[in-house]
Amino acid sequence: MKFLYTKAFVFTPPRPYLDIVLRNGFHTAKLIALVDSGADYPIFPSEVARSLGLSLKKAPTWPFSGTSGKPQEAKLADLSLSVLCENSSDHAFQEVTVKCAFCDDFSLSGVLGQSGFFSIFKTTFHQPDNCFEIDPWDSLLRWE
Amino acid sequence: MSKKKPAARELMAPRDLSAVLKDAPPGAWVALSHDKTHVVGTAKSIEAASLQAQFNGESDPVLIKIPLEDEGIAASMK
Repeated sequence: MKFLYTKAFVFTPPRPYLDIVLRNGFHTAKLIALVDSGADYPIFPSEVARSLGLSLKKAPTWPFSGTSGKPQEAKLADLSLSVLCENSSDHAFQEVTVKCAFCDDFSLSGVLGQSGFFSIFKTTFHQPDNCFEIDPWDSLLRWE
Repeated sequence: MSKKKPAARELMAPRDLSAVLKDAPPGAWVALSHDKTHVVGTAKSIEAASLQAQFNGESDPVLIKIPLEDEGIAASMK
């Protein structure tokens, strides 16, 4: 499925963003997340986990070097993730369960990284054309 | 020998949210309407932005956090 790049802010160039839904039981959050091949995991601010009723107290810690350029720490937890179509309401593919990292000091609403996104979706960037394509490696994730 | 013309590439304009988000303060969470045409909530926390969206009649907002202006993802292109 093809998606357009998004110019989200006046001060940034167009980037590959996706609308996603994170779900923990009956709690959901619909976010705009950046597709970022340099990230190891999907990463979100910790307050996203709190808004989903997810306790991170006993979650394993993952040290990483992130957007701040300084060493940071995140907590890892499993969540359900759906990619939405460009109309922001229809689910593009079936929901998947992925390990996400939650960081107190994270300045973006979310990034989608290697494990948990690129491991599930074949991603092709057409940067000069302002678009990118994603397709699940597992055909069972496609709607029939 | 005739040269084949290269196929015209399909050029697409990016989706543009920058006008909708231009007044959002750095570091804030912004709730957008489900069609992302207007802001329905702005707050320091994701819960407060979602709540504002509900008060404004939007039950299904799309949330985005506004980054700091001088912060690129890896190296900022300006």
